[in-house]
Amino acid sequence: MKQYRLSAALLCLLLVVSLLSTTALAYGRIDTSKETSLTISYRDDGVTFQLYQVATVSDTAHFTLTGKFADYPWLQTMVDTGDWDVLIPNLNAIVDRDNVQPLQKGTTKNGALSFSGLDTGLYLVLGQSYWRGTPEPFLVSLPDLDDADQWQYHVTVYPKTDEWPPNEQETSITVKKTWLDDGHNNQRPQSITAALYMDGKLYDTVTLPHNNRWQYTWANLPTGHSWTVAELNVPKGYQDSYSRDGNTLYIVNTYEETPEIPGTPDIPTNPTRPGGGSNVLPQTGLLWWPIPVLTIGGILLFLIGWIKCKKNGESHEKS
Amino acid sequence: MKNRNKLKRSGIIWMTTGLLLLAAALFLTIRNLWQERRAGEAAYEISEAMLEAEPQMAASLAPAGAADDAPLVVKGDAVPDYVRFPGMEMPTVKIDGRDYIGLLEIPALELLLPIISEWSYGNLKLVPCRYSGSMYSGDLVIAGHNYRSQFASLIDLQPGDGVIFTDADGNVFPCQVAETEILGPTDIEAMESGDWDLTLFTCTVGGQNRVAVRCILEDS
Repeated sequence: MKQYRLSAALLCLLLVVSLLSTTALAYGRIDTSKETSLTISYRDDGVTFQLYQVATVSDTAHFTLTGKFADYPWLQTMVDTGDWDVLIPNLNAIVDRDNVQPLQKGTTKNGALSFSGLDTGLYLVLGQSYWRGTPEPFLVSLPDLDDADQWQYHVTVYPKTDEWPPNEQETSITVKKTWLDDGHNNQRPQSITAALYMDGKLYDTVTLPHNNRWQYTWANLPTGHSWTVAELNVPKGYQDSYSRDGNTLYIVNTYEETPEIPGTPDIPTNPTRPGGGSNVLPQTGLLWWPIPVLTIGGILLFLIGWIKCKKNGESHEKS
Repeated sequence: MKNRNKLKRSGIIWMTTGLLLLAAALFLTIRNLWQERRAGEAAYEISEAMLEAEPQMAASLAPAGAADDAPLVVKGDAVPDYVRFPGMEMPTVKIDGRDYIGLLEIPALELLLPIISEWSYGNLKLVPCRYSGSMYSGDLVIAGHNYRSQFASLIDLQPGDGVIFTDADGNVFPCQVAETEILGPTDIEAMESGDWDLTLFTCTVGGQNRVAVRCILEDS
C-alpha cells in the first residue's frame, strides 16, 4: 500500500515538474543584447511616426520604465498589468507636457517605414495627424512573440487609423478633472492648470475650476488635428493620470499616502467626530415646544393677576 | 389700605409676567415662521441657480408636473464618471460661497431641494446638507431641518415612494423609500449603518429624536 502511495506522489511530482518546465520553455528567454527593428506597414504615404522607448526588458520579459518615463513610477503598475489601453494616454500626456524627444522619427514611403538598430524593450509609437485622420497610438514590445510563441526581434505592425468624421466643420474637447482623495481633500490646491495640445504642441491653457466646476470645454476647435490634455504643475502628494472617452479627456489626481513613522498613540479621553465635532446627530428641529408652554403659562399668570386686581377692586367698593 | 395696594401691585406684576410670556410665545412663533419661509425661498432660489448653472442637471430632471408618472431612468449616455473612477468625490456646484452636491426631489411631498456638501448648523438653516457618505458609494446620509418647506413631512413618506437624487453632473439616482425608523439623538452608528443607498433624516416634532427615511436605489 505504501509503495502505491509513494509511486502516486512521485508521479504527481513528475507531472508538476514537467508542466513547469513546459511553461518556462513556452516563451524562452529574451536575448537582451540583440538589436531589434520595427517596420510600420501603413495605408498612406507621407505620414510621420515618432518612436519613444518606454521601458527596457529583462531576459524574463519583465519591463522596467526608462528615460523620462521612469520619473513617473506609478506607471510601472500599468506596465506590469499590461493594460496598454490605460497606459497609452498617460504616456501621450507625458510626451506632450514634458516635450519628450523621440528616439527616432520617420515618414512612410511605399506603404512602409522602418526603425532599426533598436535595443530590446517596450516602445510607444505616435503617428501625426494628416488628411485622413490620426494613426492610432500603440505600444509594441521588441522582441515580440509570434503565433508559435517564439521571440521575433524584427517586428512588423499594421497601425489602424482614427479617421476624421465626414463633413465636420469644427470640433470640441472637454477636459474633466477628478479627485480621488477621500479624507485628504483639504490637501487639494484651490486650482490647477490644464494644458491643451494640438498635434503635440501647446495650444491653450485653462485654470480649473472654471465657473465653479472642475471641467472645461474648448468649443469651435479646428478639425484635422489630434488633441491631448495634461495637467501642469501637479500638486505635491498627488499622482496625475489620464484617460479619454471620445472627445472627453479625463485628468485624475490620486492622493498618494505618505507613510508616517508611528509614534506613541494618543488615547483620546473624550473623542469627538470629525466634521460636526459632536457626538450627537445634528439638531434639526425648530423650537416649537416652548410656544404652548409659554402661551398657557402666560394666560394663567395673566388670569391670576387679573383676579387679584378684581378682588382688590371689590374690596375697595365694599369699604 | 396698605393691603389693598399690595394686592393691586401683585396683580399687576402677575398680569405683566403673563403678558411677557405671551409676547415670548408670539416672538418665537414669528421667528419660526420667518425661518421656515426664508428656508423655503432659499431652497427655491438655489435650485433655480443650480439648474441655470448646470444645464445637464435641468436636462436630467423630470418635467414639472409629470414627476409621478415620469419613468425613473438613469442617464443613459457614456459611462458616468463615478463608474469610470470608483471612489471619486461627488462634484459640487458653488453658489453664493457654498458647495452643493446635487438636487433631491421627493415627488410625493412636492419637494425639490438643493443639498449642501458639508453640514453645519449655519448651512442647515438654509437647506438640507450631506451628513456623511456619497451617492456613488451607496451610503449617502442627508440631514435637513423639519421646516414645513423641507423635511417636516418626511414621516409621511410610505415604502415605495420615489426619492430622486440628481448629482452636479446630471446623473440621476432614482431611489425608493424602503422603511422609516425613529432613532435617538446619539444613534450615529445606527444612522450610518445598514445597506441603505440613501438616508434622509430630520428631528421629530419635539426635537428629541430623529426620523430616518431609508431608501434604496431602484436598480438594486
